[in-house]
Amino acid sequence: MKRPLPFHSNAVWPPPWVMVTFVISCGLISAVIWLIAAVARMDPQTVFAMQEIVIVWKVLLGAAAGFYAVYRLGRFHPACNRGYREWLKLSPWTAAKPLPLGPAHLVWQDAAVVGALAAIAGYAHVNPLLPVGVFGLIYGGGMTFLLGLTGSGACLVLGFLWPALMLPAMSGWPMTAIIVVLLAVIWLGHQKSLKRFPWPNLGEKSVWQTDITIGGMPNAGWPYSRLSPKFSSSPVSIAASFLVSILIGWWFYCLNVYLQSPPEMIQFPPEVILVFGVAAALFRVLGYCMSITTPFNLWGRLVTGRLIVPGFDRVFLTPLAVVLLAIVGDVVIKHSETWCPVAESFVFALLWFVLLAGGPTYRKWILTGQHRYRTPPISNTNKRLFKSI
Amino acid sequence: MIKLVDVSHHYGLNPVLSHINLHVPAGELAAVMGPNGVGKSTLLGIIAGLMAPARGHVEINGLRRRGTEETELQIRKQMVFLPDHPWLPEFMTGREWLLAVGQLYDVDADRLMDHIRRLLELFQLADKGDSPIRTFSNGQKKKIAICGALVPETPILVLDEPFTGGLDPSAILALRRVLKHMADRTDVTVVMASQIPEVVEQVAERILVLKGAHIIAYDTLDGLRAQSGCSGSLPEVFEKLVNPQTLEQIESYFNRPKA
Repeated sequence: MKRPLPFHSNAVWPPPWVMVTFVISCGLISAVIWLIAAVARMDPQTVFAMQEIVIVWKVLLGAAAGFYAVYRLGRFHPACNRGYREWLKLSPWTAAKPLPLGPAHLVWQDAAVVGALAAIAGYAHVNPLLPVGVFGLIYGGGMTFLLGLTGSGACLVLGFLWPALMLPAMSGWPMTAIIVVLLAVIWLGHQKSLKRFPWPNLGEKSVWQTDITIGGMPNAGWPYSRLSPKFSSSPVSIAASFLVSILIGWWFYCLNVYLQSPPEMIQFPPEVILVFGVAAALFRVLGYCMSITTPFNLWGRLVTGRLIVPGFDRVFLTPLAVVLLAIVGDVVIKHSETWCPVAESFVFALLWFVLLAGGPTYRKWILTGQHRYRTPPISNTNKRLFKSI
Repeated sequence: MIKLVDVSHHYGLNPVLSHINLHVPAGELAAVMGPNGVGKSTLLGIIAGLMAPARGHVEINGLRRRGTEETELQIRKQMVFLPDHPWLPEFMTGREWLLAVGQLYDVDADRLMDHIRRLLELFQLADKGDSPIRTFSNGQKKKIAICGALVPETPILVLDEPFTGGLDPSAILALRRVLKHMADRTDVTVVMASQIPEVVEQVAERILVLKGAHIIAYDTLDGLRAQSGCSGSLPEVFEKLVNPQTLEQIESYFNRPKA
């Protein structure tokens, strides 16, 4: 009968040189504190509690916890390491077996490392939750990102759970419950994600990837890359636009409520939505018209009486709708009184939905729009890399 | 087959092309001639899909240009456009760039590499092919650009002034031979703008003459002779069609009475 390797999870211990560096750093800081106490004839605990000393400890412990979280993901998650991933593909490894280099999920060694950091924090008059929080945020956030990258739907659930931690109503037991659910979703999502290995289109199926990427080979020069028969950009579906908008609206709401609560007590002015709407509309127009221009200029339109060119002007429809929506939203928000955070979040989500789902898609625009491609010097192509003959 | 239906275009106020109707059958090599600034490059740009006309539309093998996403991509697969001034990636070697262009058109790798080798030899770039394009002379850049247009082996080629840009006599001869070979084939359609009558006379099956935003003639050389009432060479026929007073103006210039 085969048994799992008993010390498999021991692989996650930080490298010896990191531990030695950390211990030496802690020792040096402590020695300096004891020296100051001896020279100044003060109680060492008084020196430990000095604000400047506490900040030094906070930085050291926060950095150590953050480094460990990055190390855990970067070293052990196959999605972070292309060579490892390629090697795994060729090996007989399956999700039923442990990952050869060590587990990417949380193991008792993680609790030991973070617990040790928390203990040092307690000794150094720093809140022991600081290293725990830093490790949790970086590891959890990283895992959420990697789940998205590997096409796992769990990242969407996590996307809704994370901002809930900011809500004031979630302190105490509800907060604990959310953290437990977060950890459970991460663990389950990770296991399911490993079962789907090899991830067919790593990075291409995450919900936040929109149709901004331009296909073809940009280094084939002009006009080959512009007239390329390859165009890999795909439009964002209505469902994806809807989910992303809801997610953004929810994040906005949680952040809004968090900032309005003590001690920050900051309120978003309603004009924020208006400014965002105008900026987003401009950004979209710029993105769509970066390499192209109108078939004939404004003077030509005026003289020929063709003030509107439907084949070109359709690019302005969605940005105009976004600006109008932002103006109407601004008025609604100003009259929403106690419902203000909800109204702001709703308008914000709606703006995003229109931005993402509003036509034409970039692919449709580039391939069927009534426009003219700019030559490289006008479209601001890197002149150091391309030269005309 | 290339078809332009009632195509008009203007950038600002002045019309560059006005109500152009044109039909280039499959397998034909058509040359576009006309005075400077008459709209030859605009016409080719519209055919190539570089710009949409202000009015009218273009059909390529029965598919409407910029009609739908799928048809546009289908058209792009069948056509390559060599502009008068292409922009080449300076950091790539000539061979790397040709490979990149061939890969854009999904040319089989073995066939592509063999074709690139033959093209580089044909245009005497075999020694220079593995150097960065930035080290090429202007004429060599023009040669590699021509190779780039030939490497995808598309059934339709749109070439804007391929014989200009510092080509040496052997490259002109090679390109002329290649175009002549294409003109003899029934599966390759070429539309080419050129101001060199000797070349046009030799390779083009039909010649399109543009003047004042209109097509004033589109026929074989014999047809143009009949239309102009001039039985001379292409330059004479061309002048007769475009500017009938040119010869008289030349005469009058030299015969001006002495003061």
